[in-house]
Amino acid sequence: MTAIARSLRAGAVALVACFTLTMAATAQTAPSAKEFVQKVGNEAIHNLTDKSMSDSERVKQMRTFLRDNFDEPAVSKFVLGTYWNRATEAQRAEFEKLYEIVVAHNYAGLFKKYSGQTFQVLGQRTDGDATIVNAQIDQTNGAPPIPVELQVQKDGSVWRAVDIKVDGVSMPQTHRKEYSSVINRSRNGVEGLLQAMRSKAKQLEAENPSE
Amino acid sequence: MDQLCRRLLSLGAFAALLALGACATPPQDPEARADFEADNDPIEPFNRAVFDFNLVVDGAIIKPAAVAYRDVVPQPARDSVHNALENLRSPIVFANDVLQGETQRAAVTAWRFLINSTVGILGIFDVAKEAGYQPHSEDFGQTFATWGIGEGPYLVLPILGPSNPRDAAGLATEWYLDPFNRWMDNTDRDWAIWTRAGLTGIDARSRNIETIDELQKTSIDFYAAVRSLYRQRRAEEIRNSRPTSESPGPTPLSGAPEALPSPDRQEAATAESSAGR
Repeated sequence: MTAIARSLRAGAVALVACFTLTMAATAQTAPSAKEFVQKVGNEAIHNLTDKSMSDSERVKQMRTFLRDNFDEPAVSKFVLGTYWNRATEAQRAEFEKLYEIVVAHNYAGLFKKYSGQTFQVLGQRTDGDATIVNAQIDQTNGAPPIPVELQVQKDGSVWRAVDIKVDGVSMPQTHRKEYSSVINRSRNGVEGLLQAMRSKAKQLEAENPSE
Repeated sequence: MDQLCRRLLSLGAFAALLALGACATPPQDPEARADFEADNDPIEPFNRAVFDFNLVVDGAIIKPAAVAYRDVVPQPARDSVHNALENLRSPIVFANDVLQGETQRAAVTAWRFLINSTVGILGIFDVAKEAGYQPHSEDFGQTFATWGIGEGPYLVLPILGPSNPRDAAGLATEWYLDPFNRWMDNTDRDWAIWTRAGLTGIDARSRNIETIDELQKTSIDFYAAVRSLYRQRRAEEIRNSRPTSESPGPTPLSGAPEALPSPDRQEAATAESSAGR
């Protein structure tokens, strides 16, 4: 009897110990910014470059990828810049959706040509309250590696990227400049941009539907 | 070449006259005005016209030539052409390394030139790279920038693409001082200068085909996107945050550098602040 009780108790202790250890391990493996970026890079370079995937499927997966790993509302707000304040709630929401479509088509087209590259995180730095992880894409054909920088921030317990720079060129920054030019050249302000984006999205979706 | 310089100068004067007539009117709206000033593109209507012209030339001649070049010539041969062109440009890179006070980079450039011109057979093989001397590029535009000379307003050059007065002056300086060009000019072999320029353009363009296609396909205002890209790339190149190996200055025509990773990449241009918030 005592033997049974003893082993039961030992079992319970072991169980508790196991549980505690698991908890500790979980706490420890909450990913760092660098780990997050490494994961994002691997995913982009391995899954999204799959040659057997149809173009539509690639755009579809790219959209999910963007949604999961980027803080889309924050990026949209940055891209619209000063015009964010002028936009109505409905316009902001529509912009965010159209922007995702345009970016997904652009990236899907570029990733399609990738094969055999590898992604490695080099380091991380803080710039004010921004966390910036720098990495590089190593190429296979002897070409020099491509530098990539992701600015990330914590959204609750998960990391999300708010800026991506490739070869020193920030995608949101470029779009911000492009779209402000569209807004300024249009008579209808933000609505003019949305009109242009709608027809652009329609054209891209007609080619490779992702909806 | 002096005759050529005169012709270029008169072309420049003509362009300046045209540009004066094509000044953009600053907008009234305060936010639009802030954008207008940040874009620093006072002759935008003129630049857009040249940009459109460049797109037409690119679509009709340069891109088809680049596609054919990539399709017909096997990769090793194209790499050799690229290496040889890069090697031929080494004296200019070296001069700019020195003028920027970058002695270590200057030494690397000198070693690369010596090794590749001899063991690498006139630069056809980049053996210096195998030996650990990584290539990088420099130009007079970047040197002027490190001397504190501002870029000035945005400028789209016919055929050569995105630029600004500083970088355009850099290009002209390079064209004039380049030892190979001088030698060919002095020996009445101008065709060699033009062949080299043409090859450099096709080589650069052939490394950017899909990147530019994608950018053009997904952008709403391609002109404004390229303007921003050019400035960001230039700023990055000037910072020397990374050795760049490939083409000098702007790629021909649209000259859009990649916005994104691309396996067949090629440097093009750089500037603008980051999007960090």
